Amino acid sequence: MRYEVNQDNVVHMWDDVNPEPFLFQPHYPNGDSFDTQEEAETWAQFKLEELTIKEAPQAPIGKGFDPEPKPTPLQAAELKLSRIGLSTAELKTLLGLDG
Amino acid sequence: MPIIETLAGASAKGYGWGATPAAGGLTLTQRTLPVTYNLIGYQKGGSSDLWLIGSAGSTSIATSSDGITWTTATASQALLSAISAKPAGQYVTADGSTARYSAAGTTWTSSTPFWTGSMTFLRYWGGAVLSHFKKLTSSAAESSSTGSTWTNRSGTNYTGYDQVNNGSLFGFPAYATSYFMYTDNASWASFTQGTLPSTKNWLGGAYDSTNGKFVVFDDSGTGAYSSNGTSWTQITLPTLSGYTYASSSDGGNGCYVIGGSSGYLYSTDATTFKKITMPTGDYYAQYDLANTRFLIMKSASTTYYTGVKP
Repeated sequence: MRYEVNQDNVVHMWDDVNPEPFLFQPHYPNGDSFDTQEEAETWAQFKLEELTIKEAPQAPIGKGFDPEPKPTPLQAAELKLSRIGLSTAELKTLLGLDG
Repeated sequence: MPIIETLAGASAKGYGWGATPAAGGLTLTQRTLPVTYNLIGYQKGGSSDLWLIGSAGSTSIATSSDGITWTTATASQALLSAISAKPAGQYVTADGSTARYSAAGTTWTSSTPFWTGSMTFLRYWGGAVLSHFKKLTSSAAESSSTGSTWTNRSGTNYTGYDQVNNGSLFGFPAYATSYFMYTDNASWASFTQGTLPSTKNWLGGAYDSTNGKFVVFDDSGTGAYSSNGTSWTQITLPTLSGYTYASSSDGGNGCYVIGGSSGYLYSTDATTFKKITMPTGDYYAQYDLANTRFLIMKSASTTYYTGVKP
């Protein structure tokens, strides 16, 4: 996986197999502008690590924001449960584990 | 371009990872998402007609005009457990008790569903966004044209899973032979009740205008097709490992795709389906409404696949 930042401070990112970039990022995710090439490169490096390193945090969503940790496996499991309308507490009840 | 798998045309001469594409074969390309996909649904639509993906409970989204190159964005509110979209209209996300809508996918406004309960369905249907909620002891439906206000549709005999097609909407009672087909999305005033070939947990279906056939499928490898939505022929589908969750895609482009656990099924004639085995995971297939490309998303992953009609 690699990235490039062009003269307009736009980040493009490629995976290791496709010729087309999978990411075209002209600004921070929240719409804040990349004011310098260095700023865009810093964000791109965070994004690269987010996508390639399991423990790495998520890239900052905007100017001045800190990287946020990824959801934990427990949070991911709770998310799957919520799709079928069950909370963790309700699942425990169904399984007889709430006593 | 990396070919990850190919299925030779009608004769299905062979398929496998890394195979060379054959003339008329289905070719999938493995690609990368910039955010983890975790929604039940993902759609192309909204005011700019973009693909929009994300994770339930997260404000991290990505949009794309071609399904290949994505731009990440931050939504004003987290996406919910399902998402649907109206072309040149709104995106709508909902769970059992909450709904939100957005024109571009970034700024979301909350709306109040008519019904609350475990949601089984959220889908755009030819002019209105339909939301079907199913409770443990009863079921109800509601609809909304923009996602902002919701109208009670509980009198429409919905009791189970249902699925949208281009010009009609099916309601499937759980573990039954009967189904309900609606063709009037404005008033929901009338429906046709029909009978499927056997008692199954019918899960969904699709209609393709090129083939002129409906296809429905259950959760354990049974399918049926029909040219008129009335008379059905039962078929046996290749079994997907687990086959616990499936979605269908309709394009009007001569191809049906059914995603499932550890793979997906596809057919170009509605009568014979081929199984494509994929790495372990749950897969969800979706055509864009312009019928130019389908996307097969892998749950909880940044890996996905694109393909075009064979």
